[in-house]
Amino acid sequence: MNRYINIYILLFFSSLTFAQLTLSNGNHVLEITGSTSTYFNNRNLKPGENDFKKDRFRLRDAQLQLEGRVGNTWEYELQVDFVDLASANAGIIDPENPGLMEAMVNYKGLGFIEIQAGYGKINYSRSSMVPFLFTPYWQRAQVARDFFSRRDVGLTLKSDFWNQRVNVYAGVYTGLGENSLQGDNDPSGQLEYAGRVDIAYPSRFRYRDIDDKISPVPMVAVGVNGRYSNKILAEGRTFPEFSQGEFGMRVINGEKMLYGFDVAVQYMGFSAQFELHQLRGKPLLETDPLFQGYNLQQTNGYFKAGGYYTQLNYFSPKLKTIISIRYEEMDWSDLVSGKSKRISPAIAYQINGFNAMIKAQYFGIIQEDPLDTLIWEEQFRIGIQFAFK
Amino acid sequence: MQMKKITAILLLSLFIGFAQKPKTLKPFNSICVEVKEPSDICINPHNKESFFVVSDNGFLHEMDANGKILRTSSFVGLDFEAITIFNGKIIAVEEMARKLNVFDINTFEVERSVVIPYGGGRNKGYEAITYNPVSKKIILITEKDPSWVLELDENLTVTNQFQLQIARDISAITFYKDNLWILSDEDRTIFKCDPQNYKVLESWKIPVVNPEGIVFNQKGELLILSDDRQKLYFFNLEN
Repeated sequence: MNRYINIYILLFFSSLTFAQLTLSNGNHVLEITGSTSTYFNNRNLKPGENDFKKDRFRLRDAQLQLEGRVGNTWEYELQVDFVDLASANAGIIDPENPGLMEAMVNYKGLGFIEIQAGYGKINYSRSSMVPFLFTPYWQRAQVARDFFSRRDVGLTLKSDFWNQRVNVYAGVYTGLGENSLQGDNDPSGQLEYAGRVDIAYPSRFRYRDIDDKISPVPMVAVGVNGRYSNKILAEGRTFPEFSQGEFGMRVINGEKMLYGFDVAVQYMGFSAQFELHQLRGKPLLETDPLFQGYNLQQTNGYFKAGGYYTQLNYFSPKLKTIISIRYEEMDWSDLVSGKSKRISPAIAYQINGFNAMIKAQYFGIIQEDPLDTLIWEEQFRIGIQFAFK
Repeated sequence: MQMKKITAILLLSLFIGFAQKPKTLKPFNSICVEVKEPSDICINPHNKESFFVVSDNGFLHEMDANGKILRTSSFVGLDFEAITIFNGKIIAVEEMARKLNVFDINTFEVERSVVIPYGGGRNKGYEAITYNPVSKKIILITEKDPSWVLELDENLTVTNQFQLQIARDISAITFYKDNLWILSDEDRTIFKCDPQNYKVLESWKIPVVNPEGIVFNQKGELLILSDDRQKLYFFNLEN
């Protein structure tokens, strides 16, 4: 009996349509959309561990988004996530899910170049630029999630060429990432600079992981990007609390160069991504914890960190199902031997496209980085995302 | 028992739905077009060697059979997504603004604009338009979530609307030889439909990236316009 009820529930939901609201006066268009997602998480802890607090339901997203356009000149976007606003978590901002996600205005009046000002995604890392709703995963790869800030306040210049096959971005930001929302810059007063170029062939390649349109010809996109900051703190000064991130390298007291490379391909429902990031940090002080206790002669005054991930996906329109598998490696410091290796398959069933999707992800730890030890061996997450757009 | 029968019928229907595979159509030729981000196409009734093409960035062009732009309207819309000819005038549709602009064919000037409000997603608005001489109605279709068919009278007033559930999205429509020809971008499929009841009579898969426009030229060849590739593909339905 339950089996029949399940089938009817699925058929009922698949016939649902989705509400969204667009208001227009013929020149000014405003669209109101949003999404919610909830999952259940289960961890298999290491022997001897007994903290099961992550075996839980979690409301991941409760977002409201306002996107508008005024004539051919202005675009704007305001996106908030009520989950993080409601949690009032005293300064700790989840970079993948901050309270304020976008608050920007884009000027298109110059024609050849767009100028974007405000708070929003930094155009660095293809994975970071793919909207979360369009993946079967509940979490991005570590190298695209914990390693660098994904949003900041600043100014971005954007341009595209060759029928949008080539996209160029350049921007300047506070460098404090999501913590820039707390107001002031850090005591160094210095900014971060970022740039990205991506090229696609034979046509423009949207920032999506899944080939849901079943591309009839092989398509490829290659991107390179970099970020640079040189923040020197006066003696006795510190960076704002939490701004340096869990591993202390999102913002460093010294010179930081982050660069990355990504490639994406898709054909007939199959798609794959590869993305690599490398950080070269030159902390000002020899006593900086990022030197892991080594002296200047041993480190030559710098350290490196970085990692990569590769992901394979297949989308079946008939089965309305996405299957993905991801392998990733992360080395949090070249001064400490060892790096993390993880594998993560995921599956998603589309009740109504990406707007209503059941997603399940498995997290498997193959090897741990000594700087990032965990209390769990494997983790499983299943839930539903629903977008009204 | 009754439950089992209903379930069996539903599952059988689903299976039949999957089993009706469309044929695949291959282009015999393609040309690059000068129009950037082309989004729909229709034939010039006064000179069947040329076409009217609209673009995502709000331009209306006349284009020759080799893809070269012959002239461009001074009027710039927000984002044109659909175009047709009705009563000797061009109707170009702005998707986001929900606006139908009526152009004079000769002067390329806007004579009249009509806003037809629609609350769906701003990029899921009006995507396809054509005149259906069988029902004597202008057909306007929204892209997806869901695809609504709006039937308009000659004054561009909505007289009827209903959902069309033949594809994941609809990107263009045209009328040719007693049938409606509907194009889906996401499914890369052409549907030949009954102009009375929109029932699908036949369908073809096409190997074209981002197909956004459909038209038949004077030789009876089927032309599909690709936005992303900025190309016009030629198909022969006879073979």
